[in-house]
Amino acid sequence: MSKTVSTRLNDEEVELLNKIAKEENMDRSSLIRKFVLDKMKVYQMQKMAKYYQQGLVSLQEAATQAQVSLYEMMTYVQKENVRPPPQNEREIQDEIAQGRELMKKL
Amino acid sequence: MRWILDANCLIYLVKSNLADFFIELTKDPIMIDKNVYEEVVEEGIKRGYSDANQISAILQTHNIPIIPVDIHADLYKFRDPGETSCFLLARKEGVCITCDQRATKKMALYGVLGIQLDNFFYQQYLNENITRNKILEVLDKLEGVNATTPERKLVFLKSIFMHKEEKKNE
Repeated sequence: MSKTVSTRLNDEEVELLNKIAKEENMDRSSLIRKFVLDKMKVYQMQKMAKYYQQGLVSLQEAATQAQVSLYEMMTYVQKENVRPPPQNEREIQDEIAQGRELMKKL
Repeated sequence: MRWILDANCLIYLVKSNLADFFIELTKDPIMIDKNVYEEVVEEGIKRGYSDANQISAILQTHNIPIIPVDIHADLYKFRDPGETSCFLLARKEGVCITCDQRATKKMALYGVLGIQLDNFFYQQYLNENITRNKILEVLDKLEGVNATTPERKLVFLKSIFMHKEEKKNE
């Protein structure tokens, strides 16, 4: 089920919207819908990318929470140069040592 | 023991062109779960990602089984279907391979064996399954697609150098 949402825009903004709708060969309502949905998606990815950068979520979790595919989330973090929190040498060396133990078990 | 690949590991293996090489190196069976397959292959193909087609082909060529897992009782732990099912498969005699720091930490927190892909390749170097030149090439490829970070790569390079020195002294 869909609902109607209204908003206020000034004359210049409406004029610009009309111009873009004409260029895109879309009706104004569809254009507004497209812009809102696109921006909501970017907003969600931006928010989850921040959590990913802080080490609060994994990339997969970020994608799921942002309601985008993992591919989209990967492309987004790569484009925006978002990385997980930096690890110090000790942490990485510990991981290497744990990896060594794991390989011995196999 | 079996290797369980999570969604990001699968995608990064294909992006870095290391999937076939990875499969060659693993002596134990590799598998993925149905949630990961749906997320990476089915959704990917539907959305037009060429990596998804490549992954599908690799899974078929190497007969990698796709296992259905009931995730409902554990979904709250990971908040992602793919990660949850990897956890469940790895919990039953398996090791989860991922490229994600947070996922590795969560696996460890729940007592499940996990290893990051860069570390997996590094261990292969330590076990003399791959050469020094090859591990350097692998690390470059992984960094190129964001499957490892510069600081991780630096530590691996340092360890490779130290390992070489130790070998020389033996």
